[in-house]
Amino acid sequence: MKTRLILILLLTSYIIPLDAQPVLDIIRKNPAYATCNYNTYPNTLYKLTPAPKGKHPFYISHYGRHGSRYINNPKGYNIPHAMMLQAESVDELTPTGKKVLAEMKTIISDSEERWGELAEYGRLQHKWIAQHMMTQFPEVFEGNAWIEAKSTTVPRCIISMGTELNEFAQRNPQLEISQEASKRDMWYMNHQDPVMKRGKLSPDAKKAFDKYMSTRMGNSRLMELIFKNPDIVKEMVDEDDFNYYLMKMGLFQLNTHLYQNTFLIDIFKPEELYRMWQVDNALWFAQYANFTPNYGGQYPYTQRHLLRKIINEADSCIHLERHGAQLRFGHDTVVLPLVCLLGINGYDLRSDKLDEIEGKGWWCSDIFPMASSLQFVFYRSSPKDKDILFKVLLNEQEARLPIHTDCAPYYHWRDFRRHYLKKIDNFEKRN
Amino acid sequence: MICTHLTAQTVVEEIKAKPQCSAGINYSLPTGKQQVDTPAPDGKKPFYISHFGSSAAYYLESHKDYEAPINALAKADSMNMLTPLGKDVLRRLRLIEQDAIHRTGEMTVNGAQQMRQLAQEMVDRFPDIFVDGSYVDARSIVRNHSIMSMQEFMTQIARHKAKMELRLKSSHSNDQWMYVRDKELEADRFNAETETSYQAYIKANSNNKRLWESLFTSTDYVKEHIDTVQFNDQLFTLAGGIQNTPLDGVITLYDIYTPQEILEHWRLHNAKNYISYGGFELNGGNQPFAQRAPLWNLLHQGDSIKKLDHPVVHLRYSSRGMVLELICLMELNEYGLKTSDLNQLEKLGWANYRIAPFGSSVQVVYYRKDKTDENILIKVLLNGQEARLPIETDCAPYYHWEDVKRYYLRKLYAHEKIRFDYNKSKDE
Repeated sequence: MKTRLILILLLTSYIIPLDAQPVLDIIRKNPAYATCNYNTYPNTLYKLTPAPKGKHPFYISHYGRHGSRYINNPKGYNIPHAMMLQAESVDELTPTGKKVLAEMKTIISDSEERWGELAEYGRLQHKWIAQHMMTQFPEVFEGNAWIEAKSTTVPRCIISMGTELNEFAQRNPQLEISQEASKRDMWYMNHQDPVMKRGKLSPDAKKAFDKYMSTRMGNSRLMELIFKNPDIVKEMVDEDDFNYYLMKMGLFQLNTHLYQNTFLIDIFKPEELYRMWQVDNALWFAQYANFTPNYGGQYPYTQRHLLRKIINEADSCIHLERHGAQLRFGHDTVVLPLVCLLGINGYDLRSDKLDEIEGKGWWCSDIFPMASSLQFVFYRSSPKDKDILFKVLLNEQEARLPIHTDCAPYYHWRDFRRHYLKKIDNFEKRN
Repeated sequence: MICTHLTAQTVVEEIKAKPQCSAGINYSLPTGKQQVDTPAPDGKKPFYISHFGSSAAYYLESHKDYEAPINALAKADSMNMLTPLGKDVLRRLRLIEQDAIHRTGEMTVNGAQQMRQLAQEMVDRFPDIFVDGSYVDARSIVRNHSIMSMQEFMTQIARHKAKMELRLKSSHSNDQWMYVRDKELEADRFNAETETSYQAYIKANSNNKRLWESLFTSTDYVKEHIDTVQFNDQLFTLAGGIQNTPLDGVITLYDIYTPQEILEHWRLHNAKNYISYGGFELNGGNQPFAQRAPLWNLLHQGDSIKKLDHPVVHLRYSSRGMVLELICLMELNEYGLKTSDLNQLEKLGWANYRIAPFGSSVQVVYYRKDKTDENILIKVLLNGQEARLPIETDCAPYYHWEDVKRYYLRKLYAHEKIRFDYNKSKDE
C-alpha cells in the first residue's frame, strides 16, 4: 500500500515541491526569473544522490542550450525606443523618462553588431557547467575518455561548445575530443516541423491566450512615471507594448556586461514583473507544451527525432568499454518541448486552462534559462552489466520521470527506452 | 631574384612535383615539418604572439559549385556525348558531391586535423609563452569554418596547461578590423586596363582542346552546350579540393590533365589573386591597403602588451583574402611585389599557395629580457617560417619593434594622405 502511494505521488502531474516559494517571491529575489527563457544561469554545484551500489557513472548524453546571449534582433528594443523618441520630440518625457531614454540608447548601441551573439556571461556559464560535470562525475572524464560534441550551426552554440570543450581539455589533456557544427545534424539538433511550426497558435489557442493576457497587460503607474501627460501620449505610445518591451529590455541586460546597471529594472515593481512572467509563461505553455486547444497539445513531439537519436546513440555507447560523453548544443525551443515530451518533473502537464498551469507548478523559467541542459548520466558495474541505470539532470539537478522505478532518482535504462520508443512510435503511427 | 622559397624549387618545378599546389589558396599548408628557430639575441625571451590566420580547409560555399559541372556532364551523358573517361569523371564528381552534401562552407575533417597540428607546433615551439597565467584570446570572424578552425586550434592549446586563461569570441563587432572590405579599392580592382591584361593572360593560358576531346565525343557539342570558361574553372576547383577531404588518396582528378594544363589552370587563379589582393600596378597597386585596419590593430596591440606581467597570445581567424592582403601590405618576403606584367609572377615566386593557403598565418612574436626592457625585438613567422621584412636590422630575422612600428606607421600615414587627397578632390 505504501509503495503504491509513493508511486502515485511520483506519477502525479503536480510539479511544485513542498518547500517551493511562490513565483512572486522568486522574482523579488531574482528578477531575471520573470523573463522565462532569458533567465540567467547560476554557478551552483548541487548535492546529488550517490551512485547506486556497485555501479559507477560511465557515459553522459547531453543536450544543452547556448549561454547568455545578446537579444537576437533590434526589433524588441526598437518598439519602446521609437515610442520614447516620439514622446521626446513633443516634450512629453518626465526627468525619469529622459533617464530611461538615455539608458535605452546605451543598451541599443551596446547590442549593435552583437545581435544574437554569445555574451561573456554566457561563456562563463559553460565554463562552470564543464567544471561541475567533471566534479560530479569524474569517472566519466578519466584517462583517455572520449567526448563527441555537436552544435547547431548557430555561432553562439558553437562558441558555447568550444568553451566547454576547452575547460574539459585543460583539466584532462588526455581526453579524445571531437567537435562539429554541421547542417548534416540539424534534422534532429534543431528540428523545424513543417506542420507544427514554432510559435504557431491555433485560432482556439490564440483566443484563450488573448483572454488570459488581457487582464495582465498595461501599467498606468509606469506611464505616469515616464510621461508628463500619460493620457494624451497614448496617441503615440501603446501602453501594453511599451510596458512589456521596456521590462524585457531592462531584464535582458542581466545577460550582458551591463548587468550591474539595474536602473531600468528598478523602475518596475516585482508585481509588474510577475504579471509579465505570467503572460510569457502561458504563451510558452500554449505554444510549446501540452496545451490541448493548440492542435491537440502535441508540439513536444517535434523533438521525437532528437529523443530517438539520444536513445539510439545511448544503446550503442553503453556497450563501449571506454567512458565518454556526447554533448549537443542547441536552443531553448528544443529544450522546452523535449522536457515536456519526456515529462520531466511533471512538465508534461496537459491542460486546456491557462489559469491553472501556474498553480500546478508549470514554471518554464526553471526549464530553459540560458545555458540550460539535460544530462542523462549512465551507471554500470562493468561493461558486461545488463542492468544499466541512469538518472536525468535538468539544469544539473536530479529530476523525476513519469515512469516506474525501484531506485529513484535512478531509472532502469531498459524501462526508459521501452516506454519512450513506444510513445514516439505510437505518435508516428497516429500521424 | 626575390621570393626565394626555402625549398629553392621554382614554382613550375614545385607544381610539377606536387600538383596539389596548383589549388592555390585552396591548397592546405602542410604540417609536421619541424621549423628551425634562430636563437634570440641577448637571451631575450618570447612574451607575446600576435597572430592573423586563415581558416582551415572547408567545403565550397555553394552547392551549385558541385552541382553545375555534374549537370553539364550528366546532360552530355544523356545525349551520349561522353567518352568513357568523361563518364568516369562524372562518377568521380558525384562522389565529391556526395561527400559535400549538407556540409557546404563547413570545415573538413582534414582541416580540423591541420588546425590541431598547427596549434601543437605553436605550443612546442614557444614553451615560454604557454605557461601558467598566460592569457590566450582567440577571435574569429562570424563564419562557421572560421569559428570551428579557431576552436580546434584552441582545444589543442587547452590540453597544454590548466592554468591559462582561454577566451573564444566570434562577433560582428570585430568585423571592422578583422573582416574588412574597402569598396573604393575593390571598384578599381578590374579596371579597363587590368581587364584587358587579364583577358589576354587567360587566352594565353587556356589550351583545353585536348581535355575537351578526352571528355566529350564531339567538340561541336562542347561549343554549343558548354560554357567552357566556367566549366573549366569549376572542374579544376573541384580537382584541387579533393586533397582537403576524406576522399584524398581515394580519388583524384589530376590524372585528366597534363602537367602543362595544371600549370596553366593554376596561373589563372594565381593572376586573379594577385590582381585582387596584391600589388598589381595596372589597378594602382594599392589593394593590400584594404587591410590597414588589421595592421593598425597589430601595431597598437604590440605597444599595449609590452609591459604586461604574463605572456599573451592573440589569435585571429579571418579569410585567406585578408591574410594574403596583409602579407602583401607588410611586404613579407617581398610578396609586396609590384609589377604590371602577370607573366612575371611565377618567375619572381609570387605564388598564392606559398602565401595564403588554408591554415596560413602571419605570426608576430615579441621578445624581451624583462618588463623593463626598452629594446623589444620581434620576428615574423609567415606560415610558420621566419620571414624577411622590408626593414633594416642588425639581428635578422629579428627586428627592433620601434623600427618596425615606425616603418609601418609611415606606410599607413602615406596611404591616409592619398585617401585624404582623393576624397578632397572628389568634394571639389
